[in-house]
Amino acid sequence: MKGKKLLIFLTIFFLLSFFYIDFKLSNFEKDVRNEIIKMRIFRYILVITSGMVLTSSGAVMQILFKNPLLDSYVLGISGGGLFGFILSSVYFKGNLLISIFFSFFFSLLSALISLSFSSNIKSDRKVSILISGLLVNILFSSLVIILSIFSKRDITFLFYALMGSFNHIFISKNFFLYISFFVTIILTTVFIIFKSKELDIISIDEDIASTSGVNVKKNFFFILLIIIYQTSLIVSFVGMVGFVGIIIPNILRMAGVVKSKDLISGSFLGGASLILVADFISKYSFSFEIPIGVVLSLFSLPFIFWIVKNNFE
Amino acid sequence: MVNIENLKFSYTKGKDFLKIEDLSIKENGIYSIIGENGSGKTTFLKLLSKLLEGYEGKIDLLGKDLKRIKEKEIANIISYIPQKIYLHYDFPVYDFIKYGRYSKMDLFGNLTFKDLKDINFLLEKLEIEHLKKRNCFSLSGGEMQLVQLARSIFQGGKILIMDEPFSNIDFRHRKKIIEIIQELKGEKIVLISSHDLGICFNISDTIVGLKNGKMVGIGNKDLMKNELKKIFDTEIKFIEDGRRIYFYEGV
Repeated sequence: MKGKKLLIFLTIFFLLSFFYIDFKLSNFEKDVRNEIIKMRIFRYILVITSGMVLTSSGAVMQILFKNPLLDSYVLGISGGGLFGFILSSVYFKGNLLISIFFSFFFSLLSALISLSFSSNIKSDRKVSILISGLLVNILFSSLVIILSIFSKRDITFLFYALMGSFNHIFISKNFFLYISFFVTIILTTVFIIFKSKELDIISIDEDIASTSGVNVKKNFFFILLIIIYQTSLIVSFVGMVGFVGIIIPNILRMAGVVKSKDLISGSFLGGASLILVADFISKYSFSFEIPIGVVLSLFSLPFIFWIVKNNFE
Repeated sequence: MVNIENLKFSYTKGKDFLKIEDLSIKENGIYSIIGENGSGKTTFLKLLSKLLEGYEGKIDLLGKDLKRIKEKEIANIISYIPQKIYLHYDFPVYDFIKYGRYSKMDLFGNLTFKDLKDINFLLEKLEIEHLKKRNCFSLSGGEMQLVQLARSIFQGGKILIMDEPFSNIDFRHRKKIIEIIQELKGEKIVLISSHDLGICFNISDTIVGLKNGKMVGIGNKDLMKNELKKIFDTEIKFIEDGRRIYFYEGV
C-alpha cells in the first residue's frame, strides 16, 4: 500500500488506538489512572498483535488455497490449537513451552486432517475445503468441551476459550512472555512479507510459478507451517477468534488492493483496527464482558453471506 | 537442442499414456503439435516444462538432463503458457509481466533498471502499452493472451511452450500473436499445440502428429498433409494456394 490509502489507514488505526487506551480515563484518580493505562496497554498490545496475525494469516491462506472464505478458524486450525493447549494445561499443569508445543502440534494435525478430508471430497475444491474445515472444527471443539468437563474446569472458562476473549488470558501474565511472544510474531511476519513475491506468483497460476523458478510445493507447505505456528500462538493466548481474517482481506481486495505484500500489510492495519473496535464493544457494551468472538461473528455474518454470494456460483 | 529418447509417462500405473521413442529438435523455429483431444499434446508439453514428474526415459533440453535442471534454472530454459489460466484474484498487468523474471528478483521483489526497461520495450513491441495500468480481470481473452505472451518473452526462456494459444481468441489478436511468434522463431524454439490446422501448417517449420500418446509422423507441411488421415481418423480436405494451405471439413 502506498501514499493516500496507507495514510488513511494509519490515521484510522492511531485514532482508534488512542480512543481505546484513553476511554473514560479522566473519571479516575491520578494514581489509579497509571495502573489502568498499564493494564490497558498490555491488553492493547495483545489485541492488536492478535488482530494483525489472524488477519494476515487469513489473507495468506486465501492466497495459498485460492479461496476467499478461509481463515484459521474456518480451516479448523484454531480448534486444533485450542484442544492442544487445553490438553497440555490439564496434563502438564500449564507449562508454557509444552503448552505452545501442544498447541502447535494439534493445529498442524487439524490442518492435515482438514486437507486430507477435502482431497477425498469430490466437489469443487473451494467448497470441499470449507466442509472439511467445518468438520474438523466441530471435532476439536467437541473434544475441548469433553476435556474441560472431565478436568472439572469452570464453565465460563470454556465459554471464553471457545469464543475468544482478551479478558481471560489463559497463559499467566508475565512480562517476559509478552516480549517473546511479540518478537516471535514479528519475526514470522517479516518472513511472510519476504515470501510475498512467491505468494503472488502462486496466486497467479501454479504451473506458471513452477516454470518461473518457484518451488511451489516447498513454498506452500513452508508458508502454511509458519501461519499455523502463528495461529497456535495466538490461540494459546486468547482462544478461538474467527472471521477477522476473512473480512479484512476481502474488503481490501474490493478496495483494489491485490498484490500480496500490500494485502498483508493492509491486513495488519485493518485487522488490528477491526479487532480493537470489536474488543471495545465486547468490553463496554454490557455491564459484563462478552467474548470477542461473539461480537465478531455477529458483525461478520451478513458480510460473509455476501462474499459467498459473490464467489460461489 | 531438445532431445527425447524412450520417453514413457502414465497417469495410472501400468498404462502408458504417452510413449515417444525418439524426437529431436536441432534448430530454432516453430514446431506444432497436432492431434485429437486426449492424444497427449498437453501432457507432452507439461513433461517438457517439468510440470509432471515420474516419467521414464530421457529428456534433454539445451544439452542438460531435465531431471538435473534446478528450479531457478528452468526459468531461463522454458517459458510456458498454459492452455487456460484461471485467475482467482485480480492482479495488475504490469506486475503480472514483471513476475516473468522472478528468478532474477532480489529479496524484496525488485528488478534492475535494465529489466524494467525491457518490460516497457516489450509492451511497446507487442502494442499493449495501454494495458499497462489495468488489472487482469478487465482484459479480454485476446488481450490476456498477449499479456501472457509478453510475460513469457520477458522471462526469456529459450524454449517457448504454448498450449493452445489460439483457442477462443478473436481474429485480430490471433493475427497479432502469430506475427509475434514469427518474429521470435529466429531466436527461440517455439512449441505450439493447436487444433487450428490452418495456422499450424502455415506458420510451422515442423509439424508433429500425436495419436493415442504415440508419435505418428513428423515433418514439414508437404509431408504431413498426407498423414492427416492417420492422425485424425477422418478425411480432412484442403486446398493449396501457392505456399498457403487451407483446411476444411468438407461437409
